[in-house]
Amino acid sequence: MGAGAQTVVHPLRRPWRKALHHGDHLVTPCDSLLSPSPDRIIRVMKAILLLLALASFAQAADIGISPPRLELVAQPGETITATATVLTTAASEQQIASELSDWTLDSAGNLAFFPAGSLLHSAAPFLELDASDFILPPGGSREVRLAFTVPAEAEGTLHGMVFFTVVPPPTELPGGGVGVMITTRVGLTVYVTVAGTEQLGSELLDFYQLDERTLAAVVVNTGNTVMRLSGTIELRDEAGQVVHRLEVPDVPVLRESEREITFTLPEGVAPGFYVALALIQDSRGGLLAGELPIEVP
Amino acid sequence: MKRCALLLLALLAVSSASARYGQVNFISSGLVSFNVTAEAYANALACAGCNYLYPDPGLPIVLRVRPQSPDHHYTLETLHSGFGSANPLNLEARYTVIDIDDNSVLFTIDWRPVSQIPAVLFTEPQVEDETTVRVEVEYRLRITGAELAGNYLASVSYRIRENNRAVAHNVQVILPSFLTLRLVGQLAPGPHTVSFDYSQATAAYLHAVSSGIPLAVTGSNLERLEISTNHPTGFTVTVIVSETPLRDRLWLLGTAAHGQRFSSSGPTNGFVTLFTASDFGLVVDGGETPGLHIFTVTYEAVRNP
Repeated sequence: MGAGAQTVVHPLRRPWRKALHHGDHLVTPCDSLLSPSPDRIIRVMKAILLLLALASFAQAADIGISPPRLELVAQPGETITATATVLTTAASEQQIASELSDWTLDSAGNLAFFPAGSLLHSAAPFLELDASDFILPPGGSREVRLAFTVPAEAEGTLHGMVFFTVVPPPTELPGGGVGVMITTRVGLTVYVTVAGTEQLGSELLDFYQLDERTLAAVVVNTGNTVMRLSGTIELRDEAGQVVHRLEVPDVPVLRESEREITFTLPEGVAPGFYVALALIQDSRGGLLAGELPIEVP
Repeated sequence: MKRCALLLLALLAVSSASARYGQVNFISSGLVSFNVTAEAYANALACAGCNYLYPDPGLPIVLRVRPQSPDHHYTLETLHSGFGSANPLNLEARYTVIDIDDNSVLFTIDWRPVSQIPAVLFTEPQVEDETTVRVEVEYRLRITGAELAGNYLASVSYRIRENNRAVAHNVQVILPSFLTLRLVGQLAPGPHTVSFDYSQATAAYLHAVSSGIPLAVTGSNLERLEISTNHPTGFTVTVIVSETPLRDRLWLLGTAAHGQRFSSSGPTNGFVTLFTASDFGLVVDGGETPGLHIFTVTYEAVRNP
């Protein structure tokens, strides 16, 4: 790296450009030493002459799941079974490991995962797979059978997740390091509703204008089963004519929880006064309606 | 009475006119069913230049087309009713036209889309000497990755354009819901890796330390990460970096990689790229210990529940 070394400026992708200050560029081995503070140099030279960081990824870790969601209904005490297919189009065989997990959603709909059996309405403790580890042949698939035994005292909807993880073989890395296993994994969402114990109930808790171009609806599921939403938000002008319809997304609201859904007004909505009419359908039956006068500046 | 006679004459005239041209009917027909497995779909999608799915075994679709008049030539055309939604299912068909008397193949019409707009298959002059022909029809679906999960039904019609005589059969497509995560890179044994090898580039390393600008990737056999799902609820992919002292130093798309999420609220309509290897960076502060540092990165994909 002599005095004649050239600085190579890599074109930056947009997120990098956003993240870095104007005029910055990624540092490459060809970059010349600019002028770090002397104490910094000393500290660095003492500390390190070699840095080799390796982020490693599974080779051809193509993995698929079908269906990615199971919605089962069973009687208390009953054991039911269902299947899902784990598949790959990889040219080499893949070792797959399975793992149960709990999950939940926050009010904004963000997923959060937890250890199996740690949440109150976890399905994981009652789920069994016919194989915890298996080999997928090249371009092949494996039907995985799940058995769920419903506890006698269970009620409402329980839910869980089964992850299927690609386990690549160990590998030697340059410099004598040992390769670390890399995983790519897909999840199978499982809902089990205990028949005869369902308690339904839902409310449109709030319907408000979040900002100039965003509406928000807060739906609460007071029942003990999962509900899914659908429907529309109608924008009516001052004459009462529907000028726009916004689709309510197909999202779940877990039992005894609430969910906020936001709706961005389309660009075509002209400034003025409107009435937004929320017509939100509960998949278990029922319609949640709300009305909101809004001004679009 | 006179009026009835006139009506009868008119009907006969119309009937006679429509009896000209040609007739089409089925020799064999039934439901053409594509009951697609996730594996078959994935393999068809991954098959370069051969992205096709073929129907389940069943009764073949065979037509008989008979000319009615040497002076009034027919035109055989086909169309389908559509699969009932915006779902872009691409149905294609291939036709073998056979002389019904001597079983000789007169000509074939190679694979072509069966669209909702009537398309001419052949006309009577293309068939020799007013020959009655047998038309054997084969179907396939061309897969693009944009097909949505669900059950679909369409009707495919064959009709004589000039007299509107037609026959029809149903085509059913059952597509499973799936979610696939795919690493694209060099097909070599061993894991995909992204490396930041600055062991021979101290100056660059020091510059990164002093400037705070992440180190760029120096080598990789991974090109990109892709995802595909055909379900309306979309997906969520979470990036998990293993617990190491440098966990928070690995950047992706301009911010710490660990915990990053990629999601969609709808189907991907084929494989979409989430990021490429060059989107990684490594933040250094000079406090790193010499040697080899290894991260384990897990991409965790779920369909939005």
